[in-house]
Amino acid sequence: MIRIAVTMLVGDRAKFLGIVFGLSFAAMLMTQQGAIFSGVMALVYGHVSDTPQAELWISDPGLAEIDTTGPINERELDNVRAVEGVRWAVPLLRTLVHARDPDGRITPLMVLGFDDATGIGAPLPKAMVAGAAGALQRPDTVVIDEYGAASKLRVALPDGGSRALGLGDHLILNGRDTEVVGLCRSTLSLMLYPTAYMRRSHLSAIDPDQDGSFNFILAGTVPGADAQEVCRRISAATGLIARTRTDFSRHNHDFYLHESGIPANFAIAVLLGFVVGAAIAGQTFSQFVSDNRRIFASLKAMGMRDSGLMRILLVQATTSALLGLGLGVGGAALFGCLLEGTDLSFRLEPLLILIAFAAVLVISLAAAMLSLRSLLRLDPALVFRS
Amino acid sequence: MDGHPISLRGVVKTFGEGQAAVHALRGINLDVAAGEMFLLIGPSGCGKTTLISIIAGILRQDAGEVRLFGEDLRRLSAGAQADFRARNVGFVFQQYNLVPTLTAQENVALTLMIGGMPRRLAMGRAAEALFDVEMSDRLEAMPNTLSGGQQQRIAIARAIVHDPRILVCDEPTSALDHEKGRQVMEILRAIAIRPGRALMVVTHDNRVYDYSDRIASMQDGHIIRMVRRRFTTPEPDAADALHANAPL
Repeated sequence: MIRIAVTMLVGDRAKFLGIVFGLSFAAMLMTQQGAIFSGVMALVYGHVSDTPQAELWISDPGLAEIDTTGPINERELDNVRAVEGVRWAVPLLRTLVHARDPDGRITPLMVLGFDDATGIGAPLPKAMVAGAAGALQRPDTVVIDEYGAASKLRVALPDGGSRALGLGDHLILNGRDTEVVGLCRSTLSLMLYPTAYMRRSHLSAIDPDQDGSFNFILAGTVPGADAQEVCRRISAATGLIARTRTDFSRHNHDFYLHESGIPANFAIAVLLGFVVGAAIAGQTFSQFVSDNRRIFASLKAMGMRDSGLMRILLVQATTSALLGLGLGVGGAALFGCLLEGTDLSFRLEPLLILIAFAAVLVISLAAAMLSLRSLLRLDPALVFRS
Repeated sequence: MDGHPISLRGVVKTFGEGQAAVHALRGINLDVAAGEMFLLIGPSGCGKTTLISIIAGILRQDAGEVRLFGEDLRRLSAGAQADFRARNVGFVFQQYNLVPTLTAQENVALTLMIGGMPRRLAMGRAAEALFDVEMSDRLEAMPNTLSGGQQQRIAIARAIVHDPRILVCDEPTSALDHEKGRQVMEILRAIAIRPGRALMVVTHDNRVYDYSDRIASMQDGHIIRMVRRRFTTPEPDAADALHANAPL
């Protein structure tokens, strides 16, 4: 019966394509929008992911999210270092600086001032694509992320063209001439600001407003220590908020999830995909069943039970759902491939595919069940009417 | 009532209620013997379709008794009725009603698969049935590549492949030209009629009357005339006479 169900479905080419198109549309829009949303949400903790040495992120208790926090001073850093279970703790200054290029154009940069003594917070050697982070020991030097260098910070050429910012180029950061000594890979920030790295002492020098303070303490725990317990001790001893890397990432993620309009916008697009896909697939499936009423009536007259008709519809619905899912997710994946190297973030996760599958299955099964109602009421005596 | 494959007593069927009620059958009494080809004729709206729908077990009468091989279908659940049809009833439709996306062989095998037979076995039996209707060279043909006569032969193979005890044919020749109609009736006469099987044909086509053993003429929900014939060879003149309501 599976073959009969499938050939009946595929044989009516126009309606089959309509059903699959509707389901593919729904699957693609839901997967694609979901993947962009997931990608965007990953940006909010990108710098956390880029600093894997830090087991704990410690911040002002008033921190809303990574870009909105208060200052921490050296005394508090010492207090953290004194907490049992803390193996090391270093400062991190993360601040927005205006960069003026040789053409006078101003571009905001997210600058990470890492610890001078340990280099924790600097780009990892494997992330460097040109130059070396070691060169940052010289004053007035900076490492730029390759995306920023190739997009927002391009250097104008005399012939009217432009080239990516490269090693040896200079930027004016807060009025101070700074040389680019390296390019690295870095996760984009939510606002798509280019990311720059320099020693904290150098960053403090070009941003006097910081007054020697910083906004994060990165810490490691002693082997065998319970990171959550260490966090609790730090908070109790210093009044600061300490979170594990995972918790800090989740905190930033949840902040944007609950406090911004981003999820609502994506949810509307996903819902639109679901509704439009359901409308197209449902209407076409219903039409398909209606057009084949005489065939279904014949099957019923010939002795097919209602359960047999239900099986046929379920096979047809599941076949359509699987095809729609495959094409839709394939389309979304292709879209993701085309986005590579652009500003847009795209993160196609297995959970998204599962959700899309569940959604198209719901659409196609609902369409099948609605059609089943009319089939169960179908009078088999219809076969004798011309 | 016993002894006849099809036996009806006082069968009544009304559609609608009150002023709009249509009395399709008004107390039909009928026995159809095994091994006979029984023709049901009459003008449109006289109740033929309602009667064969009830005999085929796809419509319930309002009153009266219908027994098919002694079985009162009204006592069966919907599922059991479906099983009864799958085992015992074969259908030949005016418009063939073949599944357009299945091959000839698959269309015939469908009857057996509805009855629960595994596909491989059903396909083998379907090939044999198609051989019986001289369509063994078109097993893989799709219905839309076949002529009307060929499609009706496949429909006949589909109707008889499970060796049903009742065969119901609705206008089996009306969509065919004279020669193809004659071939279809000869196939029905030669293959479909078996001892122990009742064959009922609803038709407007006077060309097929000569293939019958008995003809019942219906009007306004009644059987108004019953003619017993003895099948020999087709006699067009006699058929024309019946068609013209001449006494036979």
